[in-house]
Amino acid sequence: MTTKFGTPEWAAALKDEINGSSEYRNAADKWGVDFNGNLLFVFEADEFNPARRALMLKLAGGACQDAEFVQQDSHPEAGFVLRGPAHLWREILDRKTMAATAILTGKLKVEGERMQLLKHTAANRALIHCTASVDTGWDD
Amino acid sequence: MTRTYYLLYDDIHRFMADSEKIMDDPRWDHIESWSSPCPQGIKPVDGKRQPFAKWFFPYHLTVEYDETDPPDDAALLAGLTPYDNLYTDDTPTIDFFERMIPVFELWKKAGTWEFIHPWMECVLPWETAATYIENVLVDLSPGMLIGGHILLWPAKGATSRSRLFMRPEGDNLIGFGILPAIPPKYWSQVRPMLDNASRLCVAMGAKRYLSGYIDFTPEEWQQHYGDKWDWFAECKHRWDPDGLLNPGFVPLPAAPAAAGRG
Repeated sequence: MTTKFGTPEWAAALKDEINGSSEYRNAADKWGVDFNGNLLFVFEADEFNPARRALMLKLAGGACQDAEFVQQDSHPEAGFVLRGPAHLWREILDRKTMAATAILTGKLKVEGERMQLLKHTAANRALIHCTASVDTGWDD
Repeated sequence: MTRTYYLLYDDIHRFMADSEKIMDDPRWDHIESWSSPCPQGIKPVDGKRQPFAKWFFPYHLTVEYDETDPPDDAALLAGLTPYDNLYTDDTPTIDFFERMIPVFELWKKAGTWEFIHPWMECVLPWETAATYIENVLVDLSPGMLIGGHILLWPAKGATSRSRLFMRPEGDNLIGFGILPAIPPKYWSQVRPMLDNASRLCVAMGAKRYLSGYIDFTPEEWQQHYGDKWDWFAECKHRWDPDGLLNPGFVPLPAAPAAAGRG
């Protein structure tokens, strides 16, 4: 069932997707263990997407404790912020651009300890796969 | 004669800890190692099931000796902690030098010699090597290595005196390479993975080893040579003004108008 991006229902669907994924559970079993693994995805407004959105994911040990869209583009509980224009995020979630490529080429900006993020490429790849797997209805 | 000990490691950290002892032990004449997959089944990677492996690290340690005075195996291997000690091979020195020829013959017979070989090699700092290698190997499908190889070579940082062989700082370094043989029809699938493996190693402080598949932007070339970039460009303009050596490989800035031809 298609769920509209940016809604509480979409965030709940993503949480279910993550927690139902054995790929994520295995790949991310060390993510957020002994460090703050909470991620804030910031979808910056651009010419195609006038509204900025931010998605807070509370992640640890291969599971998602919470997923919600938040108003602010920073969050005191976030261990990392991944920030990029909405069209780039859309390309990533449509699997036209690899998230790892976007991070490594600097198109997606990382706030937080970048090396810690790079140490867990499989975990983050699996997370993006879960995010891309939500049957999403876009604004356009 | 040469005697080679075929050791096997199941853990990159233990492999590296023993490498420090081995590289600093002058009794060893040659060391050689690589990464070897033991397929375990299939698992989802980006939602698509693909074979995955437990990775092992064969380590071949060699000493040259006179037949009248064979080496003391126990003394040589004391203090090392391999997962297994599989075999000890005595070989005439000339056969040792030619040991790779049967491997290359096998690759030719198997047909993979005709595939494309986009080798992605790098020299990693000791501090980030294990993390990088574990990150890359965890999702590397062992099937990709038919007719290929995963390089792994510990080395002392001061071994090379070449000014333009760029490598990280440090007493100890690790060379690592993904050396696949790719059927041309799969190149578009494999290329992004190799590109990201290259970018990830650079992000972790490595330098690319420039013998294989390189797809640097002009900025990445400059970053590779760092503060030697200008000097390198000046040398090329002076000694290879027409770009006869490796033409088109390195996108050097145009020569200054005043530059002479050496």
